[in-house]
Amino acid sequence: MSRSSANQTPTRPRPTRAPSSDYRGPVDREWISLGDHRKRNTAILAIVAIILTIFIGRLIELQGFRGSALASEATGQRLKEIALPAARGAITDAAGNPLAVTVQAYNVTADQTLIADPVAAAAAMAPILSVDPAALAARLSGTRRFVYVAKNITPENWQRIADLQLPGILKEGTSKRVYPDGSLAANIVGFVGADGKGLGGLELGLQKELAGTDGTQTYERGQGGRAIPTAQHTKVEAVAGSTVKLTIDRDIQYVAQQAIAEQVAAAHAQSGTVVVMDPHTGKILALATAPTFDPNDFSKARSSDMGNRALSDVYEPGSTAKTMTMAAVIDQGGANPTSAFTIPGTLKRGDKVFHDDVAHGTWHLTLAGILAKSSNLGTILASERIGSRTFNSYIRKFGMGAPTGLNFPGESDGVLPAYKDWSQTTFPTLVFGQGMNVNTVQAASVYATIANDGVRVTPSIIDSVTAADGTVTPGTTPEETVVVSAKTAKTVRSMLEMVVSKDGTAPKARIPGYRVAGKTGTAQVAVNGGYGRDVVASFIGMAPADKPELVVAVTIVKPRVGRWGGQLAAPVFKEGMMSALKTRHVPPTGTVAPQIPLKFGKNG
Amino acid sequence: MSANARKLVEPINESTATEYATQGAKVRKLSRPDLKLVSQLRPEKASRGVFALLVGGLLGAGLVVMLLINTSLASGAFVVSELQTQKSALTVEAQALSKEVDAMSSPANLEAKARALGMKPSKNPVFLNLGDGSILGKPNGANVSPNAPLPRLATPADLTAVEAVDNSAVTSDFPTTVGPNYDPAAADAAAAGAATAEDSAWGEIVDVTDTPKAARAGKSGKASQPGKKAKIAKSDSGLTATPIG
Repeated sequence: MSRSSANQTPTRPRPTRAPSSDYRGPVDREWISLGDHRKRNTAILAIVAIILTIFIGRLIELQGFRGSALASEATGQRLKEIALPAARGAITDAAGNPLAVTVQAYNVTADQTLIADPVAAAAAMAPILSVDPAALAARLSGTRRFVYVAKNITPENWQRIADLQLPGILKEGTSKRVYPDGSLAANIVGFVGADGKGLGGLELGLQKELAGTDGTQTYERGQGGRAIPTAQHTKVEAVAGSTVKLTIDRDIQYVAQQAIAEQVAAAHAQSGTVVVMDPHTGKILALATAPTFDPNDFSKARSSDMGNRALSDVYEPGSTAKTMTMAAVIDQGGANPTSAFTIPGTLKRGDKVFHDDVAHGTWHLTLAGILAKSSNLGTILASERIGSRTFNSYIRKFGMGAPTGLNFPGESDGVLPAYKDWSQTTFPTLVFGQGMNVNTVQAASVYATIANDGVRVTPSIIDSVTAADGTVTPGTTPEETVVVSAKTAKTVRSMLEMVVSKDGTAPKARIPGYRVAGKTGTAQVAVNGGYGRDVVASFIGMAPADKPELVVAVTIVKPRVGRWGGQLAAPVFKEGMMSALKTRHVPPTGTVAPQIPLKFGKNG
Repeated sequence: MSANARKLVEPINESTATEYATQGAKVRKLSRPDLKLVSQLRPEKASRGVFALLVGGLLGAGLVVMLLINTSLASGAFVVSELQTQKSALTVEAQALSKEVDAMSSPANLEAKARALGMKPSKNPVFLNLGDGSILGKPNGANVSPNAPLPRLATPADLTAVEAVDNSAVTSDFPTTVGPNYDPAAADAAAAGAATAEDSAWGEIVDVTDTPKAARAGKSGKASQPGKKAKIAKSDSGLTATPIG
């Protein structure tokens, strides 16, 4: 409107009295004819109109066309959006003792331009940060406005640095994952990377539950960085991660870790694992591996030490698997513990000649004697009373070749050939524990089944997950499978007790006052299709034998000093079992183990 | 205004007057009402002043209230900011304290402390039946050689002393713990050293080996108590006091 009026102004029809001014002659036609108030008004009106037009045009431009963009730009200058990081959930043992927690930490930063005397500043800070003063001085000298001086220092140490009141030294808040017990249960708990995300163990496996959801806060910043109260303000609260409670008992875990570490070192073995289980609930009370690492500082750790060998490493179980064969034979009524077997020195099955660990003439052993002496040939003879098909169904019910159900990162299910692929030598090989692969937890689960009166309870390691709002989700519900009858389980336990007798292979596993049942294993490690010198020495057992409350499995891989399960693994079993009995308050039953004859006939 | 009403105030001309005259009394009734001059309506000066005052007052009060609200909001923002700082300081403190507790209660630290007090891990699990006083399991000795420095029963003062020593060790950044590579022999040597040093400071030595000295100490009542307790397996550390045997 005003634009058009401005254009029209010169051509607007003159007022009716205008012609009279034409009489005034040349002088009056000059520009200085503003003395005439009408002309003056017209001129002023024109100027005002022009200015107004400019203003209004600009106003329309700013408000109408660029308005929203400019407004958001302005708000953007004041608006500050900050991430509200969700606190990572803790991992605790069964009693709630923390195994992994997240704490406040600080990064120390420097503005080099503000540091007048880098050498003096470095000298003051170096002892607190435990770094070389010269290197620190170099880091503080220069013209950069932002450099990191130290990362992830404790709040106490930051306070000590702040107390020095050094100009140009600033902090940056961060958080740090801390493992208060260091390497204790490290191979279960796992570790996190520099970004705080899980990289191994349950830290990785439960990343989603532990991480929580980050929030954001947006506000307009006033002087001094404080929020302007009346301005726009949005806040999406962070949801903290869930706390995970494991079934692990810190004290049993500690003793198990100590014991296996000492034995692995003493035997110059490649590695070793201990599994402690409650057979009635399937809960894993300790899962120790050696060598281990410190999740607080794993920069120098070997990656092979950072997984969980009890789940990721599989080996041929060897003689410990004979327990499954015996249970199957007894459950099917193929033999009883006193059934007599005459065992020759060698046995040919298919195209292969089988031997025992020690060369011998003809042995006259009972079924219990076969187990106590760990005779491969005797086991083959016993297993032939039930046949391969029945044997196959039993070992699958014992959980061989199937996932443990722990869903642990890097877990291996082991290898058990499908029944249709079995050759003539597969069955006689499998019955004494060669020709298949299992991990230590799978092997322990077999003995837990015998301990739990023939009912297999799937192992578990997560007791519960507690969300930030207090909702408790129990870990996976254990599945129960009846594998053998309670009577069979009891009979097998009494046979396993004979293994620990002074005539058996593992007298070193005995615990004075207690009845212990268990089985040694010394399995050869397959190399390029054959078997070399390397072995896996193991012992798996339970106590008290007549009313088992605990199962402990020990595996020592490739020992260089010593060889036999009864010699290397049994003492570790004893340590772990004694600690578990004390911690879980399992008193001796006070009963006496029945004696089953191991031999018969003239040498029996 | 309806047409009928307008008719009533129409000026009367002659023809209509005749008409009205014929209507008699009705005419008189319809005569127009009396009109009078109304004085010009002037706004009263006093009421205008009151109104201005009212509006001004409202505006002023509104401004004051706005100011007060803004001020209180602003001071609220300060309080929030202060409390947040305080909260983070307290969080940091709580974390530092729980870290200390965690470090102290870790199995590794407990074992080291117990050994420093002259304790040894019990071997066979042994239980005392509180009902009938019978002992379940086979108690075994601590195998203290007669020439070894004699461990002494702990007193509360000892615990304080051990804590003081250990606290000074826990100064590194995040909890330094004794891992599986922990050397029990070295700890034993350190413990023996500590025990010897403490023995000289504390005169009373109670022998736990089966010697007449132990029997004498047992009479004091002080030694017999922990001796009995030792037969009950302790759960926390897997360590028990050395039983007499």
